[in-house]
Amino acid sequence: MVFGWVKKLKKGLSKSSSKISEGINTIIKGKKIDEKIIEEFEELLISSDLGVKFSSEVANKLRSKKLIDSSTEKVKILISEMLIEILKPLENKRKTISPLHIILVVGVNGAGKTATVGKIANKFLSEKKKVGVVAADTFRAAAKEQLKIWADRTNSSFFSGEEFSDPAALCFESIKKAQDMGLNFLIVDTAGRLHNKKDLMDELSKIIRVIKKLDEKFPHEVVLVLDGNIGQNSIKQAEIFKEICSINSIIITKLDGTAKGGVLVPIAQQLSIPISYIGVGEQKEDLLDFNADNFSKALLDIN
Amino acid sequence: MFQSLTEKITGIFDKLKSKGFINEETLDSVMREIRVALLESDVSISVAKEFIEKVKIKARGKEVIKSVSPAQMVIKIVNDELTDILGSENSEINLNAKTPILILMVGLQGSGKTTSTGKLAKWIINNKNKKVLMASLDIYRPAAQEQLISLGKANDIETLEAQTKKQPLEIASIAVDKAKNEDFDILILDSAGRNQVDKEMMNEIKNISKKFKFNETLLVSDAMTGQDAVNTAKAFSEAVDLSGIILTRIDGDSRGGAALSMKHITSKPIKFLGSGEKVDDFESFHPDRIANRILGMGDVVTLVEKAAKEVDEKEAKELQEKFLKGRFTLLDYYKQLEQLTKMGGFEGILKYLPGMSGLKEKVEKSLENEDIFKKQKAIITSMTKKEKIFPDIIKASRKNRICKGSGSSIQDINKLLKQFKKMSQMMKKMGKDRNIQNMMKTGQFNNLDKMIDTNKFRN
Repeated sequence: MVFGWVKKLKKGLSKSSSKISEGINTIIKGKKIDEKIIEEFEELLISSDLGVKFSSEVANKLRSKKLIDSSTEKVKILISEMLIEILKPLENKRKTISPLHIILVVGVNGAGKTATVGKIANKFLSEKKKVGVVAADTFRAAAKEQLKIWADRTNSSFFSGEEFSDPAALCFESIKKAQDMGLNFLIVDTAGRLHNKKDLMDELSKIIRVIKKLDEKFPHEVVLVLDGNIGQNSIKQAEIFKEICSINSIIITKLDGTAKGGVLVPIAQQLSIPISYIGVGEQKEDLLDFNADNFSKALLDIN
Repeated sequence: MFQSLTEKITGIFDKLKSKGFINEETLDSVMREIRVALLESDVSISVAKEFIEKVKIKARGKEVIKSVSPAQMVIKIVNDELTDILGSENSEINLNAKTPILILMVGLQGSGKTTSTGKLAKWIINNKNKKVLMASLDIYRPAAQEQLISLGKANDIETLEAQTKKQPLEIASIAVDKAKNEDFDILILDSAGRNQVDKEMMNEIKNISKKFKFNETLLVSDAMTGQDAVNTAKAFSEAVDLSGIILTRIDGDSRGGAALSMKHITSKPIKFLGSGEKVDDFESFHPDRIANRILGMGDVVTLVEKAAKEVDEKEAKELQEKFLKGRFTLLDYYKQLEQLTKMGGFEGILKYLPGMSGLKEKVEKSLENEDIFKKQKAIITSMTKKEKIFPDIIKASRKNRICKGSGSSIQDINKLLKQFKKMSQMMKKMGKDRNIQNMMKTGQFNNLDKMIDTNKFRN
């Protein structure tokens, strides 16, 4: 099981992991670790979106450890230990499940929310749960149709409204229907919105306010979807979404490319928001639980 | 976009300005800080390094160290270099060729290709007056073709009907034939999002790109992209013959460093910017103006152009007259509110003004954004014409009616009336002030940031 996870993640992260680990190999190449090499390390890590802060911490650690005749393996292990220390506390375990567990999925445009909603639905489905999805993106052209296809793929109940209708009202109605139908999970796919657009963020607050009228505990989870290709702006996104709708966890998508999700590290350092899943492909199964050890190992290509 | 980089670089320069002279050491430390600022803005390492080296050499060569205002000199050099990396002039899209002219849109998943396809089509129709056809080659993402079709419907742009059970290459052929047979000037092909490590998908786009003669192949890229921008740009420019870049989501608050990297790696110009969710939020790219924005020097040219597009000149003159003579009514105030909204609200305007980026935050806080304006517009719309011209006649029963009509409270109406009264008084005073009259005539708002007391915007 664990082995399968690492394999899949590694396959997903293959290009990127080889980038960092190849980088480390070329930098060291049997040389002594001096100041110049340390600087090159720092740059390698920055160029993986790991952030200036973490990268300079690694550099300082290398300086203080004085690993003069170090092997690439030693350096990789040192970095991975630092990564695990930061990321371990953020592994997300879903603690309680309510009779109807409501998950609101939020994020900026193009982060991969709809596909992620489909994949989460698939996950619950494989646990033999009854799942529903709500197309609360009533703004973007064909967003509803896109989610409908995912609902069909995963045998989920599908809730939608008219184009440009009020998403808050749609959510309210859908939850009531889901309660009547006795669903276990309801996943709400919201419209993409840039975190610096106040009116759009207000719309999001409104959705939450309205569904709280049904039950103060609703929604049980708010999940932020981040695109693994996005750089340091992800931190800003996480910060503002956290402030507006107190997100419970993060899902980072598109890690099957060369982007490596390195930005999770500065996010972890600054905001400590748990990470629930990572997305590694376009298929419905391509969503993995986040595990700090495996993630760090895959990133650095350690067996 | 770029806001953070602007603030950072301005901060660095503020420190620099406080020093009367610069020696080699201070120059080095300033450059180090700029380098970190660039890296944190997602500018790729190689680009940042090269940039800093160039600036350093130029700074030494120009004897910045001995010059009278070294800070100004450094700012100028950084500005020149930024403009240089971003490309030195605005490059238009190439539409001078045999029709149908073919345009291919490529990029990663979620970078905004489909929306940009709709925007580009609309832009060409509006600005170049051509007959445009759009077609989606995305058979992978659920409902991708439907998305383009409904964008087309909503904006009166012809779009190829959905094609089922066909490969992208076949769909492209069908679209090209349709464009030829039905005399379209331009065909824009929206391809599926693909990752550069996906060999099969990269081959697919390679084949499409080879099969037809594209006049433009545009890489659509998210302005928020991180360090990986370099790899994406490299891979796509190797696979297809890129002619330019469309940078999307510049209305976010990202630092936009990816713009620098992409341009540098592909050496292809950035041609357009996507600046919002509406189909008209699309502008052509002017590198010098963006460089100015990075440095916090404002972008007055764009502002003026925007104003010219939204504001009727004659109307503006009339307003100004009324303004100075104190004959400004609620009707005029309403018009002003409308114009302000059209130009992107206060926020929208401030970001273009020199030295105002710091002020922007203050205004945002005190304004609670544009909510107040919306409310005020509702109140004014609920008034009769007489009330708009002579607001003094609005007493209790009229207020009650306006309340119901606009869905606001008596307090809101009182606030607006009070504020308007104050404004009129202030205007009368200003009308008598010769300096202000001059300023309005010459259009020079040199010390605007000092003049505007943000508290005035508070109710």
